[in-house]
Amino acid sequence: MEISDSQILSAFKDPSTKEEGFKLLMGKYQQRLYWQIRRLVLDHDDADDVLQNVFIKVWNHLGKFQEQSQLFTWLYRIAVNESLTFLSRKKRKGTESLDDEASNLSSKLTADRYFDGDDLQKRLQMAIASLPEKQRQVFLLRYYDEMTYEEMSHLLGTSEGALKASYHFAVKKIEIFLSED
Amino acid sequence: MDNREEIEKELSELAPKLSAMAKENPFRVPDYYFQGLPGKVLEKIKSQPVPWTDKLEMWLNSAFMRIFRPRYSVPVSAILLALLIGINFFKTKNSRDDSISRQLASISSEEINDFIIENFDADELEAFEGLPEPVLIIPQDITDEELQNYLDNISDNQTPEEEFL
Repeated sequence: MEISDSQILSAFKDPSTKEEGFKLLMGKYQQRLYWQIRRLVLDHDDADDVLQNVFIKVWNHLGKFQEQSQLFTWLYRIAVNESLTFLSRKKRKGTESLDDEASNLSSKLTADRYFDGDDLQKRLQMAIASLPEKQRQVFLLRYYDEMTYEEMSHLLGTSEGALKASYHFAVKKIEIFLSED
Repeated sequence: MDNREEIEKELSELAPKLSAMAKENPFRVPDYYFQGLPGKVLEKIKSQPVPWTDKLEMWLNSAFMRIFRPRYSVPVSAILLALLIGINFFKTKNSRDDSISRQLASISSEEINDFIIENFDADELEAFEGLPEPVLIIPQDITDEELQNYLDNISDNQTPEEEFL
């Protein structure tokens, strides 16, 4: 039986069981958060760094969690913020043009021993990486996690109409990207 | 139509090429990655420097808990009680002084002047240093002759002020 969020939170808030509560939280959510981060940053080592930072932040701030939103929503927002901060920091460090960026990404995926996809999969990942932040988030949640617009609306705090528009734009852009030779 | 079917239908209408692709996860993770992650994270957490705000909070918590121990609770309670009584005493005294000052401030200077003239004689008034000289009231309609006559007749022991008052 899966442990409930309230059990995790009460274990975490008690100093004598804090570590136990934290391990329960990680056990429940680490894979789900890892895949959200990995699809945004692509590389395993980067995803590992970001995920560890996310959990350190969770350890430092979970005591103040107000329980006004679901625990996963709170965790997801931290994970996405941390991933986007990581990507923008990385982008600021690099000085390459957009073409160089695409070719770097392609060779990075080829060299990644934890990437098993074929050329078409590689192109899809490059197409996703080229999307604006919001469209990328919405596409990943709908395409891979098969979330309804209603669920996404709770998670991202955006109206269903706006999410639908973002997803449609993202899908069209990816389709064009895949059709190009 | 369930959610998955709905998503697939939407995708096939919007992007036939993407829709035809097998939806698979091309990424892998190292073996036992997730099993080892909690230990790795906890190790990092324990090695991170404690922020000064947390240190202060911990110190306050321990100090707060310490004063509730039996050997500290009696003297701490006695000190707190003495402080409370002291503060209350000074507060009451000050408020009483304040109220007398407030009442005096509401009396006009003329009322005070009248009270002094009615209740104090000239000798007593002289004893108050810094107070203005008592006002000598000399009738305005008296003639020089009447005045001379009066001065000739008053006893040597009486001062003019006593005679007039």
